[in-house]
Amino acid sequence: MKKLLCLAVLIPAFSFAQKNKFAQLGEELPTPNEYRNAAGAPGHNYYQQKADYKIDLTINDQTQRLSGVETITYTNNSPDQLEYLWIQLDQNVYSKDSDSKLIEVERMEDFRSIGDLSKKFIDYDGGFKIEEVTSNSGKNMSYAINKTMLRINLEQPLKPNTYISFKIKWWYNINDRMKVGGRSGYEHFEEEDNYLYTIAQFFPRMCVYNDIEGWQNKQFLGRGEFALPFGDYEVNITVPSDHIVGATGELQNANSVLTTEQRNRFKQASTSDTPVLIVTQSEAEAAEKKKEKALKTWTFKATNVRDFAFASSRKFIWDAQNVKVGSKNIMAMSYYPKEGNPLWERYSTKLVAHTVKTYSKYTVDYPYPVAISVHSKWIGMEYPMICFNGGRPESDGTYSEQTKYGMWGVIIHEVGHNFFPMIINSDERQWSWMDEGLNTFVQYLTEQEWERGYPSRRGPAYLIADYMRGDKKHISPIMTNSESIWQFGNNAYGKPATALNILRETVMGRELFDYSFKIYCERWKFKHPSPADLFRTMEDASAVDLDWFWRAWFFTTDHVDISMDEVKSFELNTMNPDVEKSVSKDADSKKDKFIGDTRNKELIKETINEKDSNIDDFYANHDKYAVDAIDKADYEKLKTSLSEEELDLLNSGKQFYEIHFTNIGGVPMPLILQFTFEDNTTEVIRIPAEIWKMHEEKVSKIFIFDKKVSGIRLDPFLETADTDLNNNTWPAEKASTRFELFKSSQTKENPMQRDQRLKEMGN
Amino acid sequence: MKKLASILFLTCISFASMAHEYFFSFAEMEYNDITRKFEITISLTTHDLEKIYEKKGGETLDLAKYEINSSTTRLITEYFSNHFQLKTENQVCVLRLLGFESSLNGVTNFYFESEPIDITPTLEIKNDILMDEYLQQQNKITLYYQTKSYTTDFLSNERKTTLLLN
Repeated sequence: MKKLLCLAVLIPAFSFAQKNKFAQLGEELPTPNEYRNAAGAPGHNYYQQKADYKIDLTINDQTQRLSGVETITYTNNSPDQLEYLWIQLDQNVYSKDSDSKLIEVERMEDFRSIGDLSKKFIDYDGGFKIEEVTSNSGKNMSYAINKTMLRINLEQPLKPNTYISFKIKWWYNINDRMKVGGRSGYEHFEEEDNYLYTIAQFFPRMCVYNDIEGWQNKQFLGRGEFALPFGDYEVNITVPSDHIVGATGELQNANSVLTTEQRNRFKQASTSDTPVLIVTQSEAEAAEKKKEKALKTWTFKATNVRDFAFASSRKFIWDAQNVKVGSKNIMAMSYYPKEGNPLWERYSTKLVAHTVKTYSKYTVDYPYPVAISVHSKWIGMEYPMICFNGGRPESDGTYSEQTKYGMWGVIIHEVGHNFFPMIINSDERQWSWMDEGLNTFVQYLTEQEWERGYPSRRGPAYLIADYMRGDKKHISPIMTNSESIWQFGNNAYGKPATALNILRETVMGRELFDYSFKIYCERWKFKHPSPADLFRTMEDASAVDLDWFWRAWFFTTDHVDISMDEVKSFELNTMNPDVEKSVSKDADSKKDKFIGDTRNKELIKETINEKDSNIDDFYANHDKYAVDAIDKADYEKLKTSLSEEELDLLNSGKQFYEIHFTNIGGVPMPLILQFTFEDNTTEVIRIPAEIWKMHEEKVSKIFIFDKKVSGIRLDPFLETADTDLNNNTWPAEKASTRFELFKSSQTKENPMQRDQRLKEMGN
Repeated sequence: MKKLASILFLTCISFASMAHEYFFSFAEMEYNDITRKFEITISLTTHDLEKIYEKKGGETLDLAKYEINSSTTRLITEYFSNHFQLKTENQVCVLRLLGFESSLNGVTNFYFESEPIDITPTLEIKNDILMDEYLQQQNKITLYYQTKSYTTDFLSNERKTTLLLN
């Protein structure tokens, strides 16, 4: 329908809520200071502590006990003097009196299986047994243990720019990871009686002391992972002599622990761009059977790392290849038992190399000499230079495609953790999303560069919609402490990863995003960033005000649901009576007709005025569509008052569309609109999210085209995580449910019927 | 004294590790006014469900190997009939498995259709899929009925809810 375009002077209606989504983040973020500046960079007085370790370890393969003596040298680079030092005792999460067990919410109906009951009675004496804490001179030091934290009470405060060295002697029973669970532990291969150790959080580790938390000594309850200072490590690991050991850092004594052939193969791998076997499967299988009793000590050194982990087993096959990042050569390596093959020998090391290279492109150049993936049934867990990853084929050597993708995904993810948080060293105990979310985002980019169309589980915006929609009572804002998050995976991994994807693809664009994200990584490599440092850097480096985005996506549980409520179409009135009266006539003739009128026309043979010519007067004979001289004169007069450009515009035939939108979900988003025209061509228009800045709930917008529009779609490329696509189309179109898509993809028979038919056919 | 009833002989499942951190299922439901049937898709992490049977011993459930056989069908049907239930004011809704699809990203969709049933102003839903095994499991449903949608979630200590359909 054609309507007159009424040009009216619009009066802005300012109606601010107390804190609208576009309010700048003020009290939500800490005040910038000399340690962290307002641009999101380390401030001019930024400092961080240093913790260096020398550790001697022994694994007792008979008792599965790990014992160690470590010397910690702790350097106080802060401006503060420290009366005490805090040290993390993560193994105490397995102590019999651990809070982690006590704080589990339980009900009697949860114990519905013998398995549930047996978990309550697992007889595992876990936790550190601290034998002594002594000064370098051998003097006992005063200390106190508070669950997973140990405090050393210093005789003299540790002054700024000084250091202290002390020694801790300890041991613990290694957990059976398959029964007790855990990020580290051992797997026992019962049939052959061999063990595969993946050892981490295994030594008393210094807490972080910094300008944000003071001492980060929040108890380890099991979920919020680790906050650790950087330092240098020298670690001696004594294990059965037939074990192969992979660890954080570089092997220092290859001559003592590797055979000549193994050293030659290692040398060959160091210049190879494809994996070279250093220990073959047949060699590993021979070791499995022989079971040496003698011991060997492997020595590793690592510089500027925040932690140390290692893996040890006589079952290990070991392969390696070189990967070059910039001018640096890195050894990508994998350690796996035969049970990991054929998947692991084919993919693991190549995935490590690909991950290191791709992450380096988007973040910072990988700075370490090695990157290692260790096969570890079921889990995925990360440490500097080394990670433990699942992905085990069936015992007959076959594997499903899902297992393959599961293995690929976990290796990319865990190797990716080298960058977040091992290098860009955020506080995991406080903010899981800062490493998991950022890492999952770059994981997505890396997966897509590994295989075109890689079926990534997280990253694309539409994949988070189910989690974010509707009922909010069991959803947490991203900015929630690691221990208190509902739906940890979606909250800490999926939602922040999606946020970065939306910023990159939709809000900022790839160029601005990639530059800013890399700046954040460069600024905070080998440092301790906080959320504010990320938020501020992304804005500061891009000139894109993102406060609204951080506020909505990270500080609330709102979701995205923008509806296209109404579309009104208009054409300009040309004021030309020849055109307009003809259009009116045409429009009137197309109006729906009352059935009585239609029937009367046929059934009333002749009316009175048709019989009697004296009935019809002037009005009866007046043709309202006729163009008379006055109409023409008026039009001529109008034309003389208009410029040529105005006249052209009047005659342009432009089509106007007024579209009304409602922000139902609460998260502002750009309006991405795809217009389809009557000639089947399309045009996409992107309206920045700032359209909502003063009208948070409802906005309208005029779109002007040369052609008539036949259809409109909001968010046609699924880039905003809109949770309801049913209100995104004009004319209204119901989005298919998954069930409808399933049914429509089927023939009349469902898969079960088809299977039955195949059986009947003898297949 | 109360006694534990119905002890199933499952062996211990203990995932304190960071295997995947999903623990989320989503059920998209629609009531079809014409057929008077609920049409339901339940999406969950494939290996979470498989692992239950792996740990249980005996029959295994391998959803990746697309074999609709009597064993797979029976296991899935049994599992969901115990853990996903709809009840109107008048009767329990009988659900029929139409099929399932496992995606390479680790998610499996299970497709169910109910027997014809008249909808009533209240609908009781029990959804404790995977909750017996994973305490962190959180399930969510969205029901489309007429022009409205209803979304609610379920936790291990809130396994049932009643929707008011107005």
